[in-house]
Amino acid sequence: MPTLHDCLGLIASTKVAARDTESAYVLRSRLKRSLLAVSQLAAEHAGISGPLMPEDIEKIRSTEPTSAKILEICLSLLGKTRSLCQPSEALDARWQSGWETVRSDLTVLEHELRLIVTTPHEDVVQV
Amino acid sequence: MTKDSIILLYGSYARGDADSVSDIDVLVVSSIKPQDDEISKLLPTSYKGILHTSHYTWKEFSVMSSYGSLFLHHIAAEAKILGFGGDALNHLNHLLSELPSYQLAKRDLSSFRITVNDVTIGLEIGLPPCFELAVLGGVARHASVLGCYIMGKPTYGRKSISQAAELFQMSAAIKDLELAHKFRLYEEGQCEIPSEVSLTDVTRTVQIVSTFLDRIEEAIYADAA
Repeated sequence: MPTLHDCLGLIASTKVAARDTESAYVLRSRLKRSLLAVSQLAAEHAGISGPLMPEDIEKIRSTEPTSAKILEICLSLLGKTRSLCQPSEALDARWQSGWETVRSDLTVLEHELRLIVTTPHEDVVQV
Repeated sequence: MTKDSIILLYGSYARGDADSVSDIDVLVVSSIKPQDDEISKLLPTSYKGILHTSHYTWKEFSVMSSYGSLFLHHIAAEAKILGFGGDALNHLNHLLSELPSYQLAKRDLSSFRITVNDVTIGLEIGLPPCFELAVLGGVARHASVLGCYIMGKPTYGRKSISQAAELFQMSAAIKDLELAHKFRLYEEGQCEIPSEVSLTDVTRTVQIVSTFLDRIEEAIYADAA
């Protein structure tokens, strides 16, 4: 199960990929991996089963506020990934124009993730 | 349908080899993306797959044509027209008729390699092996399409994996590469989970895909020389 440190590392590597204007393919898979890891951590924090695939995030419901907020952001980012990516081709130009909104959400996600450390739920948090 | 739009069917339904897990691939080139129900009205009622619509503006399409996008080669090879407005068909034909050979093969290969390396990181931090196998399945499919193209045997359907594996003397790896791609389909909601998968399975597939990329790279550099 990914730790907070792992999740922050994945988000950082996603941001690194975004600096390269020709890396839409890498960016797409890194973002999906980040969302999967983060949602698994959030689910663990809430004491519920995490997703196996990024597309499963929308099936997860948490009543624990921090986890619920994190899952909501992940779901929103997944939706943005779908709209930025075509089934046919990861188009660099579209990522370049859409990246700012994704980066903003990732920054919020990083902030919310750090709250997991300060709001332990039961005793299932691994940091 | 707007005056500048064209709607095309491509993929397995256009080729006529659709099966129970096939999705319906549609390309729309227009200034405004139409609603899916508007597109569905153009499709035969016998089509049962999930509708996957790619939408590009004419500006994006023009950029793609400038570097000889593999996707546009795919469209030029097999797409069928579902509908168009105004002068859109002439515009499309003009761009496709001037399509150069694909220019970004080395860049794609570099992206594939980074993505395969990322799989190892995912496994190390305990992400589900089925997800990482799906990532490898995506790389296998995209690398196969690229490999077939480089070898002068363009193939865009699911058979591209077996075709590429044979072209690059990796027939023994077809089963593993196709299984990885089935996990990709599972990730996209197109089928049930194909099988149980272990860390060892994914690690083996990482090696296979890496070798596959090595062979394609050799062909790309040989082609450039």
